[in-house]
Amino acid sequence: MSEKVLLVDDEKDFLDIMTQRMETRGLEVSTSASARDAIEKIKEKSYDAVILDLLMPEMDGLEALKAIKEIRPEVQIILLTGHATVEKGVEAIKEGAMDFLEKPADMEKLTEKIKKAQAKKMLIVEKKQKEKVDDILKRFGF
Amino acid sequence: MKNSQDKPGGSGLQFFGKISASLSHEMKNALAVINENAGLLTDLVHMSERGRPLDPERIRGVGTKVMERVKHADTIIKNLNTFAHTVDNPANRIDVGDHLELLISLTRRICAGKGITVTLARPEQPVAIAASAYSLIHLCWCCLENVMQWTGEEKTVCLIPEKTENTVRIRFTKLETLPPASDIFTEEKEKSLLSGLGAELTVNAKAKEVTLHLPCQI
Repeated sequence: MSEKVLLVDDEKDFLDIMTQRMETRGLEVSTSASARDAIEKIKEKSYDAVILDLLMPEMDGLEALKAIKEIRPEVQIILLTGHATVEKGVEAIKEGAMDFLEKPADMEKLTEKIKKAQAKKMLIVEKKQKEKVDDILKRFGF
Repeated sequence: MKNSQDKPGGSGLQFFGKISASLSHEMKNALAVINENAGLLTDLVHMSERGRPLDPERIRGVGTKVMERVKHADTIIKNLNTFAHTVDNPANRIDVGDHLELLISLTRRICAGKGITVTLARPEQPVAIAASAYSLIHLCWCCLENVMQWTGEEKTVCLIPEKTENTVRIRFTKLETLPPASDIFTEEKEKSLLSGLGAELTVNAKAKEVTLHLPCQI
């Protein structure tokens, strides 16, 4: 099953080229040019990984990260930024980001991280489903 | 230079830092796109080695994108260089329109981040002023940054430099409901920069514009 990725960046050219490169690696890529658009897409569909730019107009990556985690806590988020600082990195990880990378990122490493993101997300979803089943069974006295 | 705020650590240096940070971010974005295009070329070569024929149109597209980005990065560097040299002379005779154009280019990304487009209406005759280019740009940015919160639905600010008999004025137009002139600048360092340069702000609520009045020599 191919990994579903949502790429979020206000640079259209960056989105286009990253999409081409990721698709040649078998990933299923969607794009958003703003955090708000990304949030709307995430409300409608679940992705394995969201690659999020840190500095964007209107809503920045950290705000978007918090909003996405509220909607779909299982989605794995990788922040990809022009200027990575330790402070921002720590804040992002504290807010639940899976990773924090600096542009330009190595495509092979990024693809590897996306594959890990899918595995991590599946584990979370399975755990949640198991908890749900256990809860139902408990309520019926099993 | 009359501007006491331009001491290291003062607001003048903060402005320099803000612009440099924004431009370096733009540069990083340009480099990231160039890097990914180079990566795509490598991907295409790998695919051709595995039997998929190279598509000349796709390669031409990559070349075009790289050239566009290099051109963009070159403009950023040129603007940054011009900006860096604005501190060279404390008082030169300079063209206000040229420096407003530079300010607009330098801050395009910051303004776009707030959803604002800034335009310049250049007069037919150049408007000259004897000033430190850096102080002029800095003061105009303070005005622009503040008036951006009063843009109308168009989300546009139009700058109009004009020469009067004894002064130079810059009109910040296309705004909406405006506060009194005394409330345009909220920070002490902005007020001090304004008075330090002998400048003044006025508001024309009816015309929905703010005007920065400058002496012919600052």
